[in-house]
Amino acid sequence: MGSEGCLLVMVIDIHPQLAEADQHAHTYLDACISFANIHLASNVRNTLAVIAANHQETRFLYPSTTEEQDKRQKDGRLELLGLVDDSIERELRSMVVDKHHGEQTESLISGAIGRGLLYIKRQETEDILSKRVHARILVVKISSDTGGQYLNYINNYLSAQKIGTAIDVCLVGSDCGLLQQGADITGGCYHCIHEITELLQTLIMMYQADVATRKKLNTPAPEAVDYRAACFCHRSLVDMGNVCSNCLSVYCKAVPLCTTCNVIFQTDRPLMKIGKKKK
Amino acid sequence: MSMSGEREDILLQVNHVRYKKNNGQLYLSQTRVGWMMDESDTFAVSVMYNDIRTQKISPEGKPKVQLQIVLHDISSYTFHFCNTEGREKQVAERNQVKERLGQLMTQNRRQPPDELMEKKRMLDESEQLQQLYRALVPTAIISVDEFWKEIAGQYKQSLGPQLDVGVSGAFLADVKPQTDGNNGKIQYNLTPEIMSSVFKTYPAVRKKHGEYVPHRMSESEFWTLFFQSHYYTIHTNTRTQNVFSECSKHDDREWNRDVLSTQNDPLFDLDNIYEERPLATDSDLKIGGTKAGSNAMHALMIKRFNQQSLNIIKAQTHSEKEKLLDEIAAKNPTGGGVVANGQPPTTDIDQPKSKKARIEEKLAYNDLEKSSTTETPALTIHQRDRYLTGPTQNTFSNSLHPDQVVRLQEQLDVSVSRWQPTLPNSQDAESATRALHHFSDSCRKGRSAVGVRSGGQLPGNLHKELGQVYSSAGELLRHFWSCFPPRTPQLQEKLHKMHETLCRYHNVTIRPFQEMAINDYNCNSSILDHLTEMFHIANTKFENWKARNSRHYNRAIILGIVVALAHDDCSGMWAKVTTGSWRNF
Repeated sequence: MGSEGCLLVMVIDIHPQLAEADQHAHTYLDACISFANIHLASNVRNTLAVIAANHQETRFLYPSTTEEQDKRQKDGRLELLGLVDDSIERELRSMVVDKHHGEQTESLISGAIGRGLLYIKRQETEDILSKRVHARILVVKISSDTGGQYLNYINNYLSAQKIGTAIDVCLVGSDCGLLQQGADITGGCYHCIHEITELLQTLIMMYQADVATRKKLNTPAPEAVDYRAACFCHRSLVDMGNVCSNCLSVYCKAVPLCTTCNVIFQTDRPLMKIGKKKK
Repeated sequence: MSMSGEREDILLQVNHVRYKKNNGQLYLSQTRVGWMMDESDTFAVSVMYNDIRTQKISPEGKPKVQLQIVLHDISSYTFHFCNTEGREKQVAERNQVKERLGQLMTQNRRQPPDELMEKKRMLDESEQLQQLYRALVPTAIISVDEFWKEIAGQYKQSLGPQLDVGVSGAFLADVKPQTDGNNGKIQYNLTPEIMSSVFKTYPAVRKKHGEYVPHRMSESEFWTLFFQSHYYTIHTNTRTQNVFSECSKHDDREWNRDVLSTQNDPLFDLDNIYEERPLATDSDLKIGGTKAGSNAMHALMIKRFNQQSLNIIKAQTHSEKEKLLDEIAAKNPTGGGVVANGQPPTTDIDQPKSKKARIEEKLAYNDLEKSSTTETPALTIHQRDRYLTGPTQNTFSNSLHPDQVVRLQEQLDVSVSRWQPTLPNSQDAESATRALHHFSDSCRKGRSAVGVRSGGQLPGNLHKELGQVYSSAGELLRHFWSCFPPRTPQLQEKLHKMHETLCRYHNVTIRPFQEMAINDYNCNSSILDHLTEMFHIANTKFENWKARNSRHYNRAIILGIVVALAHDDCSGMWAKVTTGSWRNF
């Protein structure tokens, strides 16, 4: 709501898990499109990009890469809004129809965030005056497993932090620690809702205002983020652990051999240490 | 105030000195002057030299012979010398006292103020040091000496090396001769500073001084010769075998060397000075330059001036090593062959460097070049999944099988094909109110923490004081932790001392501060939690160390006693046990 517009990049998760309950998919998609409209309508200088991600691909829903047809105003709304709606709907349908068979089961959210960051950068360089673009990324996600994409996520977070882009996260379902860390690193807001019917209201309340305005509003206090690493052997969170200097894998106790990169550690007094602890 | 004999020795005692119409004696000791009445044994007057601003004597014409001491606070003491032997004795005594008093005053004035001035200067320079001083010393948490030894010592080290004061260019000219009008004798007043300047500028003279004085000739003879030599006068008596004639030869040789190196430097453009490249000769005229005019005397003067200036510059820029080499060269002033060996090797290295090499040297910057690529070994990962997953908790609840995913995708396809976006119905009212409830609850929970959040909203004064408390506490803690591990006895002693200091600091400064913060400013009582926690950690560490040490000591003693009892030769075993290794216990 400032004088300068904000570029909102929405990353929408279209994982097939959506189909578990029939009504859910419709509510979900409706909510996302409505929120996109609200964003564009709140400030004439706001701009939008929507990227959808499922387990096979990520795709720009808006601005669409296929040719656009100029539509005439049909229902009394701003033409741009109608354009956005149509574009999103069209691309979504074609995306869902596309089927490949692959091993990947997780949503490619990290890739979508990466594409979003690149889009933001491109907008900045293509601008005639090379103005700094106020941008933020909103991630709406339903599946909570992040699988083997830890490095990708961390790279994205650090790049976003570098260019000053906040990554907001709205999770439907259960908590995800990695996304919570990302929101904390980049200065965004993290929230998790359990009912998909509350999605639009939550989006409006928490994510409508951009980062500068949020400081003036009365928002819920951010919880303490658990940054503890999980050990590689048990996948349990540890406060203090041992880290392999070669591959940076975390172990909860001192091991003579790193099983990830097969490096042997030299320990001088492996037994005395345990003995002393008994005291 | 009595002057006990063992504290200060009496340097001068003068009898028959009157003060306020009473007869008595005047005493001068190391640090003060005192006057005692004849029949008493306590000092009626006792003045420290530091308090004395100046002393005055009565003029020659007056009948009374008096000496007056004026203090800083304008008060004064007047002593009347009334020796029965006559006026000359009185005057002599008075002058003696005056000279001695003057000496002792300057002596006493020089030492302490310097230290005090330096300390004051250090405190003025560093705001942080001043704050630490104010926080720790007046409250007797740490004694003054300890402060200056430990904390200021570290600060001084961080300042870096001090620069020396250089030699003034006019030092020889400053030696103004005084003429005694009658017999044309010229008197030069030499101070130690002038002598050290001469030694710094002319290392050859220093060598000569070391050789000749004091066995061959006295100081005054040496310096007389010096001023008669070529260094100071233009007309030298070449007839006499002068001490400094060797020096002059050495100086000339050095001068030629320097001039050659300047002339042969390919990067200098000297075409303006020399119309043609001069040959390296000893002729003063050629080296002085054709523009110096044809007068040989002028050229000589100019050469002497240049020599002196060059020597002064060299005195400042020479490093210790080169000074040593110069002294070696000065030791062998005769014979070209010997000098060649003693010459500093730098000139030989400089000469062959060609112009091109010099220019390239100036053009190339190491840090602008491409950094050399270091060979990095490749990282071989044997378990890719673990590496890519990273240190995250594995939630196995939602992992889906690819077949399941395919099935779900079919379902999604069907669902989306049936989907018609109905935006006006995208949010129903009930869910909206529920979401709003949740949102308000979480907002209210965030606001419920009453009191001042630490760090964010403290009032200005409290903020500053808190900063100061943290900085002084931090300094003490830093010294405490630097004592670990306490391997030497000094470190152990320092550790004990630091622990006591910390306890004192805790009681004197931290508790009152906390109480003040709570009472006056209505703050959260957790404002100093972090600081008190640091103190507790330090305390526990100290207690553990003490317990462990004493346990070792006790064990050693017990074992020693047991072993000694078991053997007849107690003394030998005891010695062995106590000097054994502690770790074995």
